[in-house]
Amino acid sequence: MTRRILIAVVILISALLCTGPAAGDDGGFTAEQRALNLDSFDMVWTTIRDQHYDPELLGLDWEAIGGRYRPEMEAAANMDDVRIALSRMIGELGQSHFNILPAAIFRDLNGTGEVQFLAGTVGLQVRGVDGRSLVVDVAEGSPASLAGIRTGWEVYSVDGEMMQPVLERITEEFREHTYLEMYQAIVVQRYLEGDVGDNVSVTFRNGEDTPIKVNLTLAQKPGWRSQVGNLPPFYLNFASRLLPGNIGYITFSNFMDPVRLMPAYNQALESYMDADGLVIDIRGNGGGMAPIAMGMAGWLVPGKEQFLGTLMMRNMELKTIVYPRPKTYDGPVAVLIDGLSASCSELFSGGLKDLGRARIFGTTSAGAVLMSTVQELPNGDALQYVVADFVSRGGETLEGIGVVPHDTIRHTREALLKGRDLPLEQAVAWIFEHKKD
Amino acid sequence: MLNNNKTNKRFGWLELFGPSALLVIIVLIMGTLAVTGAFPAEPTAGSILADYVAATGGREAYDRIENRVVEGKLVIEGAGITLSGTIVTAKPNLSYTLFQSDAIGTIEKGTDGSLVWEKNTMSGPQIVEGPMREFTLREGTMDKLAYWNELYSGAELDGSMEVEGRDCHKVLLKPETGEPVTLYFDKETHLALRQDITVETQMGTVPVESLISDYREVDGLLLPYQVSVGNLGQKRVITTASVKHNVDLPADRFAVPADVLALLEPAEE
Repeated sequence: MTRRILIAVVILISALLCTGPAAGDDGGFTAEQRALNLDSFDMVWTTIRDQHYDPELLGLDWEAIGGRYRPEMEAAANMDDVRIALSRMIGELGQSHFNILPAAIFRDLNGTGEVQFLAGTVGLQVRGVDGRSLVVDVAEGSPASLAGIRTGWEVYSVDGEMMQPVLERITEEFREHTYLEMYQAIVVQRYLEGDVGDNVSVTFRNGEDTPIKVNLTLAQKPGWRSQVGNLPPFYLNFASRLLPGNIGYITFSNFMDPVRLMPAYNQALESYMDADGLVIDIRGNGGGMAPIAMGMAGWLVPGKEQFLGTLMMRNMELKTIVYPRPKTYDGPVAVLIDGLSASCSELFSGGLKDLGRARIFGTTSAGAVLMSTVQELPNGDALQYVVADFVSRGGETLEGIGVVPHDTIRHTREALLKGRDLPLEQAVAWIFEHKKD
Repeated sequence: MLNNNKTNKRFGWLELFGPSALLVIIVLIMGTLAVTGAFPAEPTAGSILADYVAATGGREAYDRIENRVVEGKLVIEGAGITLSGTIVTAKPNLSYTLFQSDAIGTIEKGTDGSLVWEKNTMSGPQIVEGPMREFTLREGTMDKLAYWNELYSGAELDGSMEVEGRDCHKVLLKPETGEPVTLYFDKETHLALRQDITVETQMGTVPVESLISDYREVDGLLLPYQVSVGNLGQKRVITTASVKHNVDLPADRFAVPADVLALLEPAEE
């Protein structure tokens, strides 16, 4: 199962970055290539032995594991075999953030290739709900919005490809994994993205399950296009507004681009100081830079020497501290998360939960919090490996578990068809019960 | 060795532990490097430090320097992030540092010799207290090694070690409190090639290893133009572009910013 997860992750990354197979995938290794592959195997094995945050390697007999998989590598006939052997070996660890990245992907990630970044979208957010891919959000002014698409409609097929089997395959693969909700969304979402100006033919099923076929032309993704270092470009969406009942609402798509994000967040917090409650919606937020979360938390957590959790490295422990602010918001705070809230989102929501500073609504987060880095291998592929674990302030590991909300609230098709957002509604209701006098 | 940028690209939310680490690095750069002392016949920590001072220009040359403005850049290797930077220091331990990039915004740190502060785009203004304040005031002292016996309670020779293929003396500088600073001096050139230090930050205890190279003469002093710093699994290379001495600085150059001073006031109700 673990091996299949790792392979699936590589496949997903490949799909998301739209890269082709690496050169040499069709086999026929020269002696030099074979030697490079064996050198790569040895580098993977020693890197994990020497760099993993746990010097005991989770109690595994790493020597024996290496001995078990090296013959597979020696017998590899093509690059698929090479990657499978390596993936099987690192899969023995049973942890996230261990991946073998094909050379083409690594080149793109490392800025030496051409990242085919998909800037076009139909403007829909999709989630797997009760076995269907349902629209949970329609961006205002987007092609989908202009075509009259509504929340609660099922994405039935895209360009003739049926979504149900796609969703079933992912569900079967990740049924017991915290990544399930994330992958259910991603695999469908990527069918609805492409280059600006591309056309997609989508068949939806409305509330009466009547098929509605529409042709949509992809428009520019909303938000700020940003890029941090060699990481692939991304779009940052930030929005804030005052909800009825004097409740501040803030949402942002990732913890990146601090030059744009922090002033927007800071300004929103300043303006909501007298609000009766605050909702921070980080559903779908895949994470980013830890200090952004640490700086944001400072607006909500009073006092000094507070921290959100602890980073456990091989030779040291580091607290993810809360940067104190001159003033803090002291009203009730609700944080919305879902299975796509990952990494920094989990640091933020889990820390606020453990500090007793926020009530968490939604569904369990992705459970993907390990700190990883990437090492190029002699054969051109790359190893993504973990160098640190993250433990919540309460002492719980979040990896593979995620942040469990105080109130688990799921979308229902019935509510979505009525334009309702149940997790948000529940958060607002809680704030009304606990709002400032 | 210092330009191996083909590996170790960082992913995920830890990327931006950078600013915290950068602040430590900035302090280390400010204090780097100058020494004085006697010249005994047998190698001792004091004589090794004195040799360094002599090799880099001599005490008199250091005494002529009242302030220093360094322009340069800081590259986070593998991450593709470069920050431009300005470091202003003045005797005895005044400093103001600004690093900035489009990717992560601004990182500032300073002290008026008493209050130590920092602020970056993510954290907002912060007052640095405790061991990190003591560390900043001590290690940020301009040309700290020229005045090492005023800053440290003692120095000790701790054998030899090879650094970058060079045979070096290993010298421990022991502060009144906190961990010792370890310096490695080339036995032939007397230049410092490496510094190891353990810093007690708010986040925890962080070991920092710095490789020092590319010494160039400026106003009679030999100053390192490149420092490669490794910590938290990342390597950062700081390269100096220009150094100016005894600059006519604005009177408020080291004044504590208003938003930092506001932190000293009682929080609003």
